[in-house]
Amino acid sequence: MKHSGWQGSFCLLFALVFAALAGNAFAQAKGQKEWEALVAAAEKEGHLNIAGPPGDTYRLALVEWFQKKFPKIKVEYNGASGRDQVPRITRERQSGIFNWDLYIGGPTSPLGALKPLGAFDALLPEMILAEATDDAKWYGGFHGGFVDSEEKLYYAFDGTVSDVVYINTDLVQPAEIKSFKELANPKWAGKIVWEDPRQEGSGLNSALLFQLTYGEAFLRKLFAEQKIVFTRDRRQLTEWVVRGRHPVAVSLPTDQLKIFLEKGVGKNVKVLEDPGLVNSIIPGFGAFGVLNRRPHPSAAKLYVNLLLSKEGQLNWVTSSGGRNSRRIDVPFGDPEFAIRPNQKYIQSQSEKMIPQRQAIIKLAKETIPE
Amino acid sequence: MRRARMQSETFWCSVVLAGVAFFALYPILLIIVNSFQVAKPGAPALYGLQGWSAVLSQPGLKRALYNTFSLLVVRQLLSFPVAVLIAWLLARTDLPGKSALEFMFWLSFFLPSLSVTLGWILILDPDYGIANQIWKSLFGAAQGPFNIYSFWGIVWAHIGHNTTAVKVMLLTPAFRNMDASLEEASEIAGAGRAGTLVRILIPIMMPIIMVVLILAIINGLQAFEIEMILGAPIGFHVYSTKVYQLIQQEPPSFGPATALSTLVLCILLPLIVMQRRWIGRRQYTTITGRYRAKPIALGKWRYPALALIALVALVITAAPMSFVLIGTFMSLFGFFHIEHPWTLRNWSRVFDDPIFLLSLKNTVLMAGGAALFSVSLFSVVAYISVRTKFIWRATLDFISWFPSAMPGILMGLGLLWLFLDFPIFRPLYGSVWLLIIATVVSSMTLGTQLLKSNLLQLGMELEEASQASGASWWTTYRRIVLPLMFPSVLLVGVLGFIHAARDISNVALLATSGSRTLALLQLDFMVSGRYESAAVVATIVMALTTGIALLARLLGLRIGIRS
Repeated sequence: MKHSGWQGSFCLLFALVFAALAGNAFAQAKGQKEWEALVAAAEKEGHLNIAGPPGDTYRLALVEWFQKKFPKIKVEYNGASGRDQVPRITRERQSGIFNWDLYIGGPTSPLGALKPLGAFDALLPEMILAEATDDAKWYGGFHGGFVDSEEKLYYAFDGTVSDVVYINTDLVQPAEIKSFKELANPKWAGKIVWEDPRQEGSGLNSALLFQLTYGEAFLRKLFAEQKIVFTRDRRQLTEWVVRGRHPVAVSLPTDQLKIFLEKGVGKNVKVLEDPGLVNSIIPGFGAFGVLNRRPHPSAAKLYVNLLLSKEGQLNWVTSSGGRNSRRIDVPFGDPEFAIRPNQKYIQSQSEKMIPQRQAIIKLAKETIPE
Repeated sequence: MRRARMQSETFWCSVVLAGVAFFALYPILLIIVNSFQVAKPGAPALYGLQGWSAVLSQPGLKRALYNTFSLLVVRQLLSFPVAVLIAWLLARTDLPGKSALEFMFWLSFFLPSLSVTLGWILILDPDYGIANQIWKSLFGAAQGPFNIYSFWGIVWAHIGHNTTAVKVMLLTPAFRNMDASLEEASEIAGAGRAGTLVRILIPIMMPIIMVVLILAIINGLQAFEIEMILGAPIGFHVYSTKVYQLIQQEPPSFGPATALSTLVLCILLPLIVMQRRWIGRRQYTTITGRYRAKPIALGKWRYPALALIALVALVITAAPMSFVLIGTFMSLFGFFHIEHPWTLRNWSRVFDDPIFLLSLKNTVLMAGGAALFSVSLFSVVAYISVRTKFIWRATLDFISWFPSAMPGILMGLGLLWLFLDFPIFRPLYGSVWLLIIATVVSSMTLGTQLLKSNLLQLGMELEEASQASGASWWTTYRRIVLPLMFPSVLLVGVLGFIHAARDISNVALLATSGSRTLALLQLDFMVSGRYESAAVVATIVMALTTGIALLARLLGLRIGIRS
């Protein structure tokens, strides 16, 4: 009996393993079949319309790889800022025109203006690639990427950590600014340049982090008393710091600095760290939503699955000019601004943060002397 | 028969009026009405004055307005007399090489503003500017005297770019239409050259001078690129940068931006009324059956005048053009000391871009189409305003001013709404055709007013003589009016072409991936911080326009009035 008991257990275990393997194989076969059917349907649609971020870098990063992989699907890509994109899509939808399949770009504009119109579909029903939604593959789990309040509509795949203060080391030594609170010291008056926080962007993000860490009074003091130069020209901002016109920069655009570094200048520009500062992930343009009533549902589904797969994120980190991914199985686009596993981060562009961001814009407008 | 002709004329004039009003006024009305919309996105429409009151009470607005008007006055005081003098010398005298010199001013107008401004920074930056470096090494001074980041730096960047050039470009054809006998009569009566210029030529040129002045005021109120770059470090804000800031927000504050933009309308309206009253008082005919285009001999002043104009042309054309060209071959614009300062990579990046060829094709199509449509539509509008008895002709003329009063992005938004509101345009949505319509509408003021001013110079007797000889209206127009107007018609065509080829703000909301133009590709590179590649695209647009302008001038010289 003992013997037969052992045999029984073995048979049961064997049956379970077999069932699991068979199930997995069946699921894989089913998944493969579903994927092939999706590809066929997408190719039959033949088009994919993306409203995406501006700039040739993002256009090439978001279109070229997909176009090469699926040459039968023609990607129509309209790159523009949220400022141009959102009013256009809003008015088109009001007129009964549903031209776009996907909106890719910074979350603030689409969440502020398109989400209230009910323009987005939930993402999860679109996801069929198991590896793309595997919690173990994403920092904070797959769900950690949703930036809308309901956590189902708008997804940030980018995992770049925000950098705040840069210095020109020819003119300022890192030891001179141990905490960013010291920026309020009159010593730095007239020496700081800042990407204008009166509009959406990394300048506003830095202001948000200052406010969350050091409070509104600190921010108010900086804006009102430090004779800061605010600019919207990101390239010029970078050049000013490289040349030393302004030795301290708040929210210096790293993609611009990379252009200088590639040419051998700007090595004197270093990022500063403040251990006390709230850490944040700023997805920038690396976020998207699936628009409802889209003209090419299968192509859109194919694209988002591929975009969130390892392959898609690998393409993102290699071709987006040094951005990182929230996926942990792809290399860093820029290790300096990668998520560190032992740190806690906020999603500073999430929908929950919009009221705070707007309050800072208001504060900046009221306080910055003109 | 005559009655039937009158009725037909009234009908066609009404059609033109309706069309112009629809495309020029309707988008503006739409955005003004929407500027009172205060509901949040997705909520039912709610109208109120909050947007207007908030924007009109925003901090720094008074200072920005003061800065705007200071800049405007100084720029015009400096550039207008110089432009009038240069236009007169180019059109009315025996100045050597005047055709080439005139073309240099055209080229200056074609230059991209960003590259030119960056070039002036390279020369006049207080710390690393080449002029200051030379000064310091020559005189051992600690600091050079030039500072591009200042009020006078901004004035210089404007004058050194196209503030003067555009005036010369617009005034020269009108001066060329002057009858030499007027100058001769003045001199016989004892007036000197200067007296003739001030007491005869300028008063009789008043229609075009007023048009150029009003356009300069509008342009001065709306210009913001130079002010954004050079004003930011010194906290120098102008009215247009305030409007730009509102539009740049996410989501954009179109309502408050519209509220602020209506200021241009408020300034424009009395100016138009003044201009019409002034012009209505007198006759400005200079081209009659006895027209003679004899150039004035400058005598001993011939070469000093040549030197003066050549110097101005060099400073505002050759220097900026070299900035632009050098910029396209530099690894990093303005960095000469790096290991590999020169490269062809900027050009290859543009040529390798997968959308370059499509953008080039779209630009040629759109700008060519816009040039043709501009010439056709604006000459009809100008003709109706000046030559017909159509009862609403003043209204038509009045409406033609409106598109210039709105910033491009707001006009583009209004046109987007218009195209989406009327199903008849849906088949065209996303095509180059809508971009053509948008750019034609936005360049309506300049084209129409330029042609109108030229028509005012044209005596009726030539057309009456032609018709009395049995020629039809069309034959008269083709054989008499068109050749006399040809240089101006071509100028309007060239301006239509360059305006469309460079336009970003009016087309940004209307273009799709299939209808993107080179200007939008240039914007792509600028957004990515690749100013050198952006300069390459601007150079290609400039080369295209220069080719068109050269053709136009050759054609104009063959057909138009020759001095």
